[in-house]
Amino acid sequence: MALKTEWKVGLFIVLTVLLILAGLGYMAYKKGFFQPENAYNLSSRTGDGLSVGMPLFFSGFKIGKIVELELSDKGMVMIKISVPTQHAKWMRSDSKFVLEKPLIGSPKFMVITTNLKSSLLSANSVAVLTEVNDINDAIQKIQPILEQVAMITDNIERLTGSLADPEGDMSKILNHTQKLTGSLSSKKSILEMAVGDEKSVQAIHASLRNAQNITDQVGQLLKKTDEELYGKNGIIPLVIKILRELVTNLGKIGKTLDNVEKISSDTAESTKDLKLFRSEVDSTVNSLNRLINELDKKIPFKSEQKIKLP
Amino acid sequence: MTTAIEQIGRSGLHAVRASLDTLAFAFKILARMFDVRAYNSAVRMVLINQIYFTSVQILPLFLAVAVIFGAIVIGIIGQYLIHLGLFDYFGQLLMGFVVTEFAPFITVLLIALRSGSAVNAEIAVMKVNKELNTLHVFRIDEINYLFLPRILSGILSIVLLSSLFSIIVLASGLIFSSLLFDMSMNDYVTALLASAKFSDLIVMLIKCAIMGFFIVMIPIRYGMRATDELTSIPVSVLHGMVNVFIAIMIIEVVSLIVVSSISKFI
Amino acid sequence: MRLYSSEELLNRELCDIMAQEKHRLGLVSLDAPLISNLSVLSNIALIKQYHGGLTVPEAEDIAEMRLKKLHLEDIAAKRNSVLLEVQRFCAMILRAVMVEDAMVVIDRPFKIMPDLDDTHFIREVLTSVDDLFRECHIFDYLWNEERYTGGMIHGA
Repeated sequence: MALKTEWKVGLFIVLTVLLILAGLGYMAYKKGFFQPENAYNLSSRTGDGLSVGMPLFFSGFKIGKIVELELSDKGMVMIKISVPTQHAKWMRSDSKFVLEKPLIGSPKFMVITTNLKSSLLSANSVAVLTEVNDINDAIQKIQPILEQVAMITDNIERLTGSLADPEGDMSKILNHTQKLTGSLSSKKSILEMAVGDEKSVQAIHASLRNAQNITDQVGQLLKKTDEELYGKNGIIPLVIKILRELVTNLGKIGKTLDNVEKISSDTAESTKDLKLFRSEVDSTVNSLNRLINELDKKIPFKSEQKIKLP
Repeated sequence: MTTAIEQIGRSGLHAVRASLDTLAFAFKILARMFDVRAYNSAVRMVLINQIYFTSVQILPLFLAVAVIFGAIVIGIIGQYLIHLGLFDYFGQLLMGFVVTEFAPFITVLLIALRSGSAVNAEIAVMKVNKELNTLHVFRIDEINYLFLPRILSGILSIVLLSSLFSIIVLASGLIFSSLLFDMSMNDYVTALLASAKFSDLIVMLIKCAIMGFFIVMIPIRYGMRATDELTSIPVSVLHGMVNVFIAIMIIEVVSLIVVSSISKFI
Repeated sequence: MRLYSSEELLNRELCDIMAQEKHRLGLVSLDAPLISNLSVLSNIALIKQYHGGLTVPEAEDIAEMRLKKLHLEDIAAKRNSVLLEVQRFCAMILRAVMVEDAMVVIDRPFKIMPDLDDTHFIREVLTSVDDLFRECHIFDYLWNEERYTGGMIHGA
């Protein structure tokens, strides 16, 4: 019984231990524990993100690991990596060693070899480790765009400030235009009075009957007025020209604003302001157009048209 | 009010004293474990018998449990991972959960239920029958002759059976993952090897050894607390097994903290 | 043979002798029963295994020879619980004489074998193994004196 028990226990222990050792041995073999390894040296500005045991990847495959990290006398971090001989072929003299620090996740240490015909990396050489930092790179790329957006916002602010300023150029133009149209309106009323008022007509008839010279003088005066108003260098064509130019310029501002809107499409707040400004400009242009049309309707600004006196 | 506070204080002190006694007893046994003089043919015979009762006798049941549990766990894990689109983590879960956590836990539970309770009852019966007095009269050290071989058997059995459980679960996982998930042997082995770490396996073996130590030592201590009355036997087994369960939980939690600390340190 | 008028007295004397002669004490008593999870053979062999440094087969060979001496080889594989009272007594005697230079102390033999009328059987057993121990003491109550017709064995 005792011997039998001893035999069973012995068999159990031996078989189980053999099984465990076989499993561990297979794992060690597959993980390359029994393979000879080559050591390489790298240097880096910083040891941030590096650690002993960190795997080295080539094309997504683990081919080695960091075995030692040391700070040199010059303040550089000296990295010793170990790569099994079977993977040494991926380590070339022009291979690039990169420590990628992704936005999310742990850093990844990898070697990039593009030319497999170049000489093998020497164990004595010290390659430089490049750091690729996603967060900092992204910030660096965004920085100029942000600066541009800030400039555009400043310009728009200045532009809108200028438009809103009662002493600004735009306000002055609009005030002048208003004064001009007011002036025109008052002149129109004089004409109406001249044409439509019965007393005036009678006075004119009386004047015509009584004094031919007065009629001539009135005729000359009217001719002169007509020229001043409708002539090539008259006031009305000049006003129309100014207004048309104003409309054209405002149209250009509209296009510029469209471009600004496209550039700053990411900045929601700015877009809202631009849209608002654009709509204001559009409404100004429209109101000016309406004003011109109104003038056109109410005053027949054609050179050939003349007031026919009865 | 005062009485209640006194009662709480008394219970607390009792718990602390009991824990300290248990630890002192553990150190005493540990010290004896490394004393070569403690091992004579009588102790070796008990050790062999204990390994036989704890490991060899349970082997058919244990292998069946390993295959069944392995198939179930691998099936469930695989299905969930596929459902969540995380099947790439199959290897990591097998190594990190099944091998390092599930296998030791199931093994410890089985051994605690079977051998822990048996040891507790055996020691309690010996105490009631005055057999411990026999050992004393004949100058046979109870720690050397009774406790040491049982505890060593517990350690050895948990370590070996846990490893065996892991190997069987992984082997059955190969078959079931091929049947259930159309996974090739090469993919399966590659996934396992990519996630396997020697440090994890070493921690797992140390954890098994510690659990093996305590799941036998605690029943021994509670068995020794039996009085001369037969009715004290079930009471001592009851207390012993409850404390074994608590000890398993504490060791699991401590091992998780240790593992996470090690991984942070590394 | 040591006879005492009270249990307390007997126990005190027994404790004293156990303390004084603990290195060669071979106690035969119900307070030191056979180990229940060991066979009779293993119980007897255990002493030589533990103190004599003998291997299991060596110690068991000796135990087997001693059992044969008392014509009890058939109980070698039996456990304590299935033994007859006389068999149990013999097994305990054989275990006691396994102690080197043994001083056998028999504690209340009629408690171990209540059916015995006298010490005839006890003397017979002790005579069979008298070459294996140095001295023997029997502790009992005074009221059992008439059962000890032959007096002490080996002095004391």
